[in-house]
Amino acid sequence: VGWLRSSSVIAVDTPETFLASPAGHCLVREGYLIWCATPRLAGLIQWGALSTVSMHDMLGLGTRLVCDVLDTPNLLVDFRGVDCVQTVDVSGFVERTRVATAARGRVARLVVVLPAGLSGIVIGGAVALIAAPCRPMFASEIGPALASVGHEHLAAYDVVDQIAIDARGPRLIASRVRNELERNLVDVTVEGCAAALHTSERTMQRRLREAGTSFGEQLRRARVGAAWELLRFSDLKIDAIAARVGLGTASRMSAVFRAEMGVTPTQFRAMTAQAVSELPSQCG
Amino acid sequence: MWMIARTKSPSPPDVFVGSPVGRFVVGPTYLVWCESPDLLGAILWGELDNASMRELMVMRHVFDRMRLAARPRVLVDCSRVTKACADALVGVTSFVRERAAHVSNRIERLAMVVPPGLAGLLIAGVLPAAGIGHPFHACEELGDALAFVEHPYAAAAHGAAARAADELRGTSTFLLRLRALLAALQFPRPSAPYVARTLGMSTRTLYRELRRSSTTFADEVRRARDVTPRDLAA
Repeated sequence: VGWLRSSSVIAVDTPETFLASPAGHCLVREGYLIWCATPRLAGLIQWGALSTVSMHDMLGLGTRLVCDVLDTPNLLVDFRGVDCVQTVDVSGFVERTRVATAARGRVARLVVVLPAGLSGIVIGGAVALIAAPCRPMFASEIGPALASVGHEHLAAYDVVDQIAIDARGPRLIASRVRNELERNLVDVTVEGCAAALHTSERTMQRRLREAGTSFGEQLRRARVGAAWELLRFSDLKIDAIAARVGLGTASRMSAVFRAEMGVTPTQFRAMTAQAVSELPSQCG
Repeated sequence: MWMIARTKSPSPPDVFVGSPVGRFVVGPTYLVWCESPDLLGAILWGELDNASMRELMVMRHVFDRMRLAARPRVLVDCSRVTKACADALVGVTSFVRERAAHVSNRIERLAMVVPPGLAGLLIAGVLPAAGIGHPFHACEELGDALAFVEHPYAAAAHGAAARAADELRGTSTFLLRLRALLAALQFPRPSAPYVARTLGMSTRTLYRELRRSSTTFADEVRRARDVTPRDLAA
């Protein structure tokens, strides 16, 4: 598995340099990083706001890599660092783009790791429609995704992941923590979250501090966000929602929810019961 | 002869669960059909909002209890959907995610036809975001979906179900329930009090709802007799 086994990678500066000799190299672009381990294994890590500019650039470079350079590789695309999606922009991009048709038969396996929430739905829909000829597979965690592309050296993937974190800055780790928390709000621990992100507890806490936030703040926001969804969508009673999002009791949830949203869960549900839902931009 | 094409009326969910082949069930914004133990489908229309998604979630119980002999191929046609509410789809994704492994183990492959534009993008993203593991294909063309499903009866069965869906769209939930019940009753002249009780309402409410739907009890009984010449027994 080339450099992923040796845990070393060389970052190059230009697309031309990368495409000339991709194996063992990676390239950082605006909003994403593209890497190649061997002629049969390559991938992308996307972060921040998913704009049409970065999507177009990423798709163009990825298509050139797959069609002109590599030999029917497995592709791993990691969107977990995306924290903002302009839904309407992405929809327009999908309408205009069927570029991946060119990659039909040129990709052995395409595995996509999605973020949680509406961003995951929008990106999942975009990939499903754009890359349909490649028969994409979807995952929510990096471990199973790596296994799907025939690579199980999680620690080695961290080498390239670290380059992405350095390029994005500390906010990438905040996005990843939030993503992880949204998947499990009840039995969550700092240790468990750090382990899921393949980092140490101290490193994760330090990076969160650098990003101007904390584990507790991210957990509180993730719980309020989940409660928000259940209050709007479901008929679950408040105490059932509280238990489901890890806030224990209705009174505790009420206090946390009011502190964050300015209204109680009951008031919020009453306010939104008749509201017409608009398709939101995740970037708000 | 395809099974669905011979069925004119929707079945009550309980009948469908017990013996789904050749039958379909209808809700306010969906129709679910089963052509054979290895071929299922659904047609969705209108607005996918919180209320319609909640209705659709009821179908998961039906799916869990259905007696199917094989892991079916599934064709979901959402091309008649006019609007997708993001909140509702986020909620549905959470629900499906909790059951993704179970659902994936029971499905051989699933193709989904989505409407163009924003609604289609969001609908196409629900199952990927929920972490489903079975082969999945989203597209805007029915032909692409049929090619992915790759079942000899898929096109004919979907066509028959789509015709039924187009006839039933706009029919009130009350009438759908009433007609499903009348179609399933084994005796030819059910009494109004019996039907009202079975539907969980008083006889007066039954007659009031019938008046509101511009029909009569006798007309509905006659209609059920005309359109169900034992097609449910086929």
